[in-house]
Amino acid sequence: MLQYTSNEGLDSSHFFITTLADNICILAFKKLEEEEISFNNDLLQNNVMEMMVVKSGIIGENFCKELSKTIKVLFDRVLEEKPGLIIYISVDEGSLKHQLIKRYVDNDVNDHFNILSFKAAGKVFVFFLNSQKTNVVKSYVALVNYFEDEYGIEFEEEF
Amino acid sequence: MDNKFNNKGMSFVPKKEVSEEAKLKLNKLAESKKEYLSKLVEDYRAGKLIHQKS
Repeated sequence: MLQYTSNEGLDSSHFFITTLADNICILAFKKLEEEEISFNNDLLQNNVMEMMVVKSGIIGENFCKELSKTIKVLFDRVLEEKPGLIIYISVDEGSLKHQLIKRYVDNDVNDHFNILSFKAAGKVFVFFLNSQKTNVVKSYVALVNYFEDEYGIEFEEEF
Repeated sequence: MDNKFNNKGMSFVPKKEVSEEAKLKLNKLAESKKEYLSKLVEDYRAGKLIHQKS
């Protein structure tokens, strides 16, 4: 686990992680305002926080093993602690960040964490929920309605 | 496992081809995220993001 400092609030939280190479990686969780994304649904508007990761001063998307582990520990803590929270991440399909998310999901041991992933136009929109604190079915219905109303996209399960 | 998340998650794809209008809107969303990330780094470097605890 790498060292970090944090700045945590109700509408946004930032974690400043110091990597082994002494660089800073910022992990941010931010509530989405209606002017950014209007879900037209209280459950989503009140509970979705976007998660973003950016490295200060370094170009590239690669993450060392220790950094990946630290991000996962902080992610788990946030999703475990905040009631009703839905963590949203958008990435380019097939990108390093997308591969990292898939690795996190495949190796995750938190059986109460659920993931709803929507792929469209070369992008992937991933929503993480804690099924002990968030109604997964209601969230799924609200997300399907959002994509249909906002983008005219009807989704079906990927097989 | 290649095309689908494990059994704790579900993955969805569009039933039909995504319209050009929807693609533009989705790209715009991605652009605004990039702008936010740039600002986040700028704010960090300028000392505007305060570390509260470790």
